[in-house]
Amino acid sequence: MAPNWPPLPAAIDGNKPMSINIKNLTKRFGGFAAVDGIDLDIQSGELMALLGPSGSGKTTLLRMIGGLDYADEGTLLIEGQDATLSEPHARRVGFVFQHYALFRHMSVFENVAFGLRVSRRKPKVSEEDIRRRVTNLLELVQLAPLSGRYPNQLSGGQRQRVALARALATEPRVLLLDEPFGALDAKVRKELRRWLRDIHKGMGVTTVFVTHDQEEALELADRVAILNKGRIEQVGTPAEVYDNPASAFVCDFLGGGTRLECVVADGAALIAGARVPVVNQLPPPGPATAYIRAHDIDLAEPGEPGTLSATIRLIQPVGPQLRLDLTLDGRMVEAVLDRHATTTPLSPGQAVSLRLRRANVYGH
Amino acid sequence: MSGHAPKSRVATNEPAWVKALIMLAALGFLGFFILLPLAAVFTEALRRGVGAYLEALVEPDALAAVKLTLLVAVIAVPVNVVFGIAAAWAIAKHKFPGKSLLLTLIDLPFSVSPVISGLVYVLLFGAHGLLGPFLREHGIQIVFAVPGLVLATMFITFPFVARELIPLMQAQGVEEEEAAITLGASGWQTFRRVTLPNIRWGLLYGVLLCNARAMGEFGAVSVVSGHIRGETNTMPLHVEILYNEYNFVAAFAVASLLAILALVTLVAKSLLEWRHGAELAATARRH
Repeated sequence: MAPNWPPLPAAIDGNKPMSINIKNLTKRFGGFAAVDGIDLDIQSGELMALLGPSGSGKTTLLRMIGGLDYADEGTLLIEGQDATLSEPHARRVGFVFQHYALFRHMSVFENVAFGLRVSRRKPKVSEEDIRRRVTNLLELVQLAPLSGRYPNQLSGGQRQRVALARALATEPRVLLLDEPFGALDAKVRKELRRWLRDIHKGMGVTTVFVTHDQEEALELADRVAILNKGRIEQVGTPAEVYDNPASAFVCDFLGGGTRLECVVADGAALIAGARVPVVNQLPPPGPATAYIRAHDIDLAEPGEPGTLSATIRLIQPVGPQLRLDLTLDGRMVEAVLDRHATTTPLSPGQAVSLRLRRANVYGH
Repeated sequence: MSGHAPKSRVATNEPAWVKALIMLAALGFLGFFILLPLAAVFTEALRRGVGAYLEALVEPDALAAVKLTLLVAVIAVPVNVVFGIAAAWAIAKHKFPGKSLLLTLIDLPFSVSPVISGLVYVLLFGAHGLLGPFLREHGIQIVFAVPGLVLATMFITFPFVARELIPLMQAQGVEEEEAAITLGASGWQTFRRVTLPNIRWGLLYGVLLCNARAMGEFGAVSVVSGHIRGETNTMPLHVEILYNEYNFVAAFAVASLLAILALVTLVAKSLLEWRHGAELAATARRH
């Protein structure tokens, strides 16, 4: 290695992604705590999803990171520096709004150029630099031919890409997205997801996005924070939170499958008298709730020990899957089987034996 | 019903004779109450020929009235533009205690008789008014002078701009402003580059209506004017004086100027509605 490399140019150094540390952050609206003492650490360059139902406080948390709302309590550090009360422009964040919030009276080009034109950095960005930067960004989001159009002449997906280019134009060190794909149809959504991941990988900017769609969070994020009623229920990689949900809420929200009442006794969980393998930590003895995902149910030989008897109500072949609605002990159970691996003929009304491969059990 | 209703009758369609009757009634009403008087103004004004008409307009007192009307409008309209934008911005984009009270107060000039608004200023600033002694000591005259006319006009016209902008700004929400702020814009830059361009057509519309009323106001202005010829008479007041003196040609000549102002305002208003109707109807969310 050469001992004296020239120092990194300021633009690149100033553009390195930032870590975010949130401590006991609280925001009240009237008497209602929208965000209620949240602790969360977001690593530099990470792609983090804030997942939760509406009213869980995820958007308020995002707005506080972006400086659009201010916390009543707690601290927010960006790259180790206190940013709890700093102005949005001082945080150098890019914000993509749920409904894009494009400037309706400006062309696509001017929308993207806006942040450069109002920049308070000295010296001012020259017109030539603005032109070059905006053109580059519009090429990145594949909208260069539409630079003269106005927002109301664009499709939803195109508007979303303009909003992203506009947020990236000021070289933010943190990118915040509020329900970025919420208003788009399924096909466009899938394309944009992949594309956002590519951009995140390419630019390495710390990214936080809010979503209520668990599939989106699990597919896109490095880590997922699941929020409920202004608090964080669990933080982890998509595999961690899916495989080991920390609470009944998380389990339910991440597609928990069928809920069944069970009893915990002698270090085991029993459903209708049959033992089921439990993957999480067993709650204290007494009545409890078990969640069984549709994929974790198999058909078994009749009378085999540890199985449950059920009745088929409905059979639906969906692509490679065979979806069964069953009644077990008077309760509805959903099961999904591999259509081509299921050789036994099945028909509605038929009595079958079920083996539950795994369950998550939570105490009341 | 007479058994031969057309086969393809639409439920919302009336028989032709009903339609004709309703249309005739509407047009007849319009013609009798609006077009006929308008035509009368111009025929009366031109009764003694174009020469007499123009002479009545360049007569010193008439010219003074025109100048005074323009002066009042030139002061009152810009002040109301500033106030209207500020009030609409505060009401539409922010939450604060007393917001609905402010909204009600803005409507006050619409619900109060203009004569009473004029009277309030006389009671406040007149010789025997609340602030009368103070003003006399300092040699300031408000009532029966130009300041009184401007104040009364401002009071009467202040809802026009605010009322036009509030629904428009409410419909547009604050997301674009928030976007501008996260992109590093200052408060002033946000207002000038985002808020103002978004309301420009609504604002122009409000200014137009505000101006028409400012120039045409009679009641409130009449109370505070004192009717000093060539000094405190605006055009509407001058028309009344001439009329009371049986000087019909001159009265209608000045009146015709006001009528022309009204027509120009109407045309400009229709043009705005035609070109920017969607925005003016406060449905500006076009995505």
